[in-house]
Amino acid sequence: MKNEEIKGLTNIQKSYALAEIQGCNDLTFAYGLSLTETQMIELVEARFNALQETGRIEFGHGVLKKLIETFCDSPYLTQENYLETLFELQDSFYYFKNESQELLSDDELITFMKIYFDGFCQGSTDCLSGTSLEELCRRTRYGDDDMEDEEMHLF
Amino acid sequence: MEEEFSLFATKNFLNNLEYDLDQQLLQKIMYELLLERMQRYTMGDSSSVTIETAEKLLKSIVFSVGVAVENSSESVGFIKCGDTTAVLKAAWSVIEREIKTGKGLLATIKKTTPEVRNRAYYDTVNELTAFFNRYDYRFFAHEIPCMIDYQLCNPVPESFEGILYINEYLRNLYIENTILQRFEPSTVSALLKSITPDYEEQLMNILEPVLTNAFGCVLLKKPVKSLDINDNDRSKLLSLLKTWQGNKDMHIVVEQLCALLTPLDDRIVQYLLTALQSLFPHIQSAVLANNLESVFLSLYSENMNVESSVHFTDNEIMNNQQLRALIHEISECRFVSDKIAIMKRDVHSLRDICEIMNVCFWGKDSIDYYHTLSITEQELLLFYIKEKHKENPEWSSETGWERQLVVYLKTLRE
Repeated sequence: MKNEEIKGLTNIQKSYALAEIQGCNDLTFAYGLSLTETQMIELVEARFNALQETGRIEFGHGVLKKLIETFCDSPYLTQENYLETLFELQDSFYYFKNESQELLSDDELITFMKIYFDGFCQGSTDCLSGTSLEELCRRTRYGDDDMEDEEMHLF
Repeated sequence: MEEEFSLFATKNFLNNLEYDLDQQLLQKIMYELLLERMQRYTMGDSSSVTIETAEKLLKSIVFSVGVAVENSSESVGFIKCGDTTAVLKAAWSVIEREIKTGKGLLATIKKTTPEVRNRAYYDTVNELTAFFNRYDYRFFAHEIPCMIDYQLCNPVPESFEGILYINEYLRNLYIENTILQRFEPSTVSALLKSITPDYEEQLMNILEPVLTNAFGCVLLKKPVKSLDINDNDRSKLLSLLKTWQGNKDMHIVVEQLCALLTPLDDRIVQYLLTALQSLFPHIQSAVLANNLESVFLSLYSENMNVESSVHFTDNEIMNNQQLRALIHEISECRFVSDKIAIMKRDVHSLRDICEIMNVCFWGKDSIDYYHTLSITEQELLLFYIKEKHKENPEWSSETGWERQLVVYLKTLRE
């Protein structure tokens, strides 16, 4: 697709995406989390950069709203690391989405990420982004203990 | 590549159809259709797709809308109203109609398949059958999900896509089958065999050599269906083609060819003309090289091949007195090895060998002698026996050496 067309398409999508996450503050206030207008714009811009880097096109409702709704109750999120974590989560999501070769739905992937983030990673986005999709799915499905057992059996 | 998939290309494509369509409206419709197709494709499971998938979906939409506009007058109205669902439905109904036509054409092709076997042809027909199961026109209408190995005399233009390509291919294949039916399968096989004995396994078009030789036969005023062109004919063709008048002469030849292959409809005549015109540069370069052997082929014949591969001239035979003396000497030998030594020393003709074998080598003695012969010598002896049997089917030697030879060679081969 031509750059001009992508620009035309993304400008409409950006305005939709902004409107979507503006409504999320109502939900996240309860967890002590909120985003300013500037931060929201930064997040939306980052979303389109992430899409471009991973070679994907998003349509309809974006995934940012779902990420905020799912991760806002994480015990590892604070107002200080909220924006930075959302940036990282968004990048990781598109990376894993490509890795899954369309075999995982958005909801499934976000659920896996949340369990892994709160569990094995203990809130570390570096840990989450440094893992492989295979490991992410295995640890989420079978838990840490089973993984350790499995690794033990290998030696 | 990007150009190809772009929406601007879509607009140009539709504008080329000379419909007065608002470009912004067209772009909006394309976006809406793409969005709707992407959502259907992911079944709501995913909010994004890869650029490659989006490009394929967009290409399919462009193809479908193009098909709708070209074949259904209502479609332009739907586009002007911005009714995307109706546009897509109109396109699908045209594509479904084309699929039905294609299935009918394929059934006809299966009925008219040439008797001459060719693996590429049969594989392609099987793949075309699979195409109709694999073709997903709702998402990838422009794709051709099958392998087409068999090359036609007149290839289908690259601009054709999806079911339109397949139908055009099937129509051309049907024409080629119809033309081939005018010739004897054994003649066509003999012609193809002169290109290569394993023509059945080769990726080659069956009609092309047939058409070339038919063209030659018309110029020579020989029976077209014989397809036979010998060395003399090639010399005549060379002088005829040196004074060739180009397009004007080609039309005359095609007319004559069609008259001889009658009845042929206009489409087939046009196909023949195009095919011969595309073959002609190849013929012309052969004329310039003064060598038509690789273009106008002679029919393959078994005799021709055997004669050229085996030549045997026997040595002079002994006179009767010498032969009798030698037979007496060999018969007196106590050991087989002595008999063999004398044979090696004094006998130098196949006919003499056979005369001596008839009376001197009894039972298993002959086997020891065969051990000392080369494969060529053994085969020559076998050839002698066969010839002898042809002359007189009841012939057999007193010693039975010929039966021993057959058994010996059979054991050797096993």
